[in-house]
Amino acid sequence: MKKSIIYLFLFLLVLGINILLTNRLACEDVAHPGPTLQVTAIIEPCINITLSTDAIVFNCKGAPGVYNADQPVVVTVGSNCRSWTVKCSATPLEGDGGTIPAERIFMKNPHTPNIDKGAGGGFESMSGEKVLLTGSATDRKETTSEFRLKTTWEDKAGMYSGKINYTYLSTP
Amino acid sequence: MVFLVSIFISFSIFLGNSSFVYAAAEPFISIILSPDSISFHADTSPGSFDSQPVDVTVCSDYKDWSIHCEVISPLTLSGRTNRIPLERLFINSPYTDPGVDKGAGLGYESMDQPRLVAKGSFTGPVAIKASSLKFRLLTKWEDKPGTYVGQVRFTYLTNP
Repeated sequence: MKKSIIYLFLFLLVLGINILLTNRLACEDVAHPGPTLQVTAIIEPCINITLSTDAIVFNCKGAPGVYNADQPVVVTVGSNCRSWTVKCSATPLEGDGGTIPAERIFMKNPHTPNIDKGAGGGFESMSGEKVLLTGSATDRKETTSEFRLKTTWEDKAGMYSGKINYTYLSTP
Repeated sequence: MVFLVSIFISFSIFLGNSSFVYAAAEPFISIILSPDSISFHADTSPGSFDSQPVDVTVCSDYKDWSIHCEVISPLTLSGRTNRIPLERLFINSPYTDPGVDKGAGLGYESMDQPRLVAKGSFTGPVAIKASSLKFRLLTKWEDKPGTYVGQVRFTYLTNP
């Protein structure tokens, strides 16, 4: 009888310990660290130049003189580079009647000095590359360019076409 | 399991058997990421860029388990302090809301907090593909060019 009581006591003791142990394990809800994923992002230097239009027209329907383009050109620049410069240059206008040199195309920007070089105050001849806009990392910076063409009696009637090229320099 | 073994031992003692054997088998879980590294290549204007998908393979004898992932090291420009904020790294998993769009496309949720990526139960000895994850990075003009490095840690919760 005494032996049975001892065994019963031992049984209840082990049972109790295990109920506690099992309960502890069942309720375990701790986050355990697992594997790690290495993440790399490579961001390339980038500059984005957009133009409000991809063509401008000079309608020279009168006597030789200075003619405005049909619309201004808004140039918008976005860049992640530390510093950047956007330049533009014009090619001669080629036509059946000959060529109109680039120096007779004029451009005016908000930053150009108000000096008259033959096409009105602030208009500069596009005889070479012109700095249009400079900046640093930005999502949006813009400028508006107005263009004029100066014609002479030597320019034969007809259609002439050329290009205004936009280029950039940047420092990442 | 432990409980049953103990009952058996207790009854053995009670019935007069003097041998006392106790075996404790710890539950086990194995989590494998394939690949274990990903990269984003932002080579155009800012926007969203995808990395390689990541498969999560699990082998476990836990009754129930779940796996979460979280950013433990934000994307930081090498050698500098410039960072891409956590909220611009996104994840798509079977457990993200397919209808949500936080700016990186439908089904992509920001990793600004831990995300559930997989859950399951006892797998037996054979590993199973528990989840396939897609990551997306949203870049902005303000992110300086260069190589950014960070870490995403996976953690698991279990119920034996």
